[in-house]
Amino acid sequence: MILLEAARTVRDLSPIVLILGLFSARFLTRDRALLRRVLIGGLHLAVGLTLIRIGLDGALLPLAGDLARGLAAALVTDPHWPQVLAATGFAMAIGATAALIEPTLAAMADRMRDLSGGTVRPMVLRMAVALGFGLGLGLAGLRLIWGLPLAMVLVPAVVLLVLLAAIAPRALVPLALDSGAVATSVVTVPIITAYGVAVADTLPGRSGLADGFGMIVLAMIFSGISVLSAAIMTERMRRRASDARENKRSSP
Amino acid sequence: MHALQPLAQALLATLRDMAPILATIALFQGLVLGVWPDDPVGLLAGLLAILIGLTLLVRGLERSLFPIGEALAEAMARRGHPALLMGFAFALGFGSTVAEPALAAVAAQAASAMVADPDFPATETQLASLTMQIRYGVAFGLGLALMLGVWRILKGWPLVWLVLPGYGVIAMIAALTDAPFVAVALDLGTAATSAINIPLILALGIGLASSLRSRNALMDGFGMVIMASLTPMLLFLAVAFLLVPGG
Repeated sequence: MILLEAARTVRDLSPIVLILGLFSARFLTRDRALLRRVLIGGLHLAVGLTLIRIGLDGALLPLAGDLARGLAAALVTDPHWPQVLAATGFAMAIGATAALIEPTLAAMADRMRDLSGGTVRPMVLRMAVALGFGLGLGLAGLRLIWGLPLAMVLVPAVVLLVLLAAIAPRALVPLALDSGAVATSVVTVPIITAYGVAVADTLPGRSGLADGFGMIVLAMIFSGISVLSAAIMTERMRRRASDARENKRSSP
Repeated sequence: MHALQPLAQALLATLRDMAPILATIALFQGLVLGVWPDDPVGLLAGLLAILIGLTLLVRGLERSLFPIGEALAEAMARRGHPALLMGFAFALGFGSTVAEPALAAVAAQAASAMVADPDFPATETQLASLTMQIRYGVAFGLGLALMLGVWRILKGWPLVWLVLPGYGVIAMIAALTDAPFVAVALDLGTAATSAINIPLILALGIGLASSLRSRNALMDGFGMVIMASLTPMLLFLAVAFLLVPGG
């Protein structure tokens, strides 16, 4: 199994390695230190990706899928609010906690810290994304259980996103819009899909193929909403703190 | 031992990140369902693989794709030829996406869903070719998105001019039709950006923005990942509307 997964990783990586190699050979000056670093880093990346896939397929995905199926089955036999709450609560919790382990988001958050000169703390960014991710998946789970049309959740979410983008500090808007797209990646997407397919397959009258879709995009949009809100709030707090300092200085 | 210390610290940090999801699963397993998994050893091995894999992947991204992407973007910007930059952006977007594993999984799922949809009559035998078409189509859309993104950085356009109307069109389409392919398109676009292409897209934006004197890495460098998600969605929706008669 390890060999098979490793072969898959090599196959998936080969086109981009080829493109990067060609462009580097043509346009980069020979830099042995960089080359060495990138090759070692690439090895880390390939081994890491392979191990994550083995672990996801072997442990985390079946576990999350069985749980979602169990919660949905309980909902079918007893369709009342405690069961609805348990199934959507699990969607929220698994979404938020999966976003916290998403390696793509972690790597971006670390890069951010350097670029913003320390004003954006990596863990704060990841927490904000996780909060939005959980909210988005909770609503997506509720939509799936109640069989609501996607537009009923999507349209208000997009309106909210646009409004927040208009009033958020302008320097942080691109980062906020990007962060949701960054967070839906190698760990979170399979977990969301496992949940959606399991719940849709268990509920009567739904099909895992058609009704499981629409969850990933909601997780992305709500992450954007959450990071924009966090940016607005920190900006307000910062301004209030500096106002207070000004007042202290001006009053004798 | 000294060489191992940073690795041990990184593993501990990953374990701290993993604690909430493990607690979530344990909580719902034990308290809500009251069942325990029947293969605890295999489970533990799998979780250990994830722990090590996450630690290595974050390190690998920071040390390989980020630096090589930024170095290439800066080298291209120095040459100062927009056509070269655009060609590089397209090659990067297409090449990093066509084999993106997360996209491959969702594309296969999307193809099966479309076969089940009466609007898209297709036989099971066409499933594999449909999956490949979706993957190439999305990768093409991603290449286009990066060309547009590079153009935006060169011109200094604010990101919201491009992204918010894109979101608006998507919300409008979702409000107008409840056809299943809308949800499929939106999830496909979101899944198209994943562990391999996101670091490269970010590096392209940051590298380009920081090598142009009048651009800011934070304001102009970010924003290409969301463009890379929205463009394949819009492309897919446009194609779907053309294919569905009277759609």
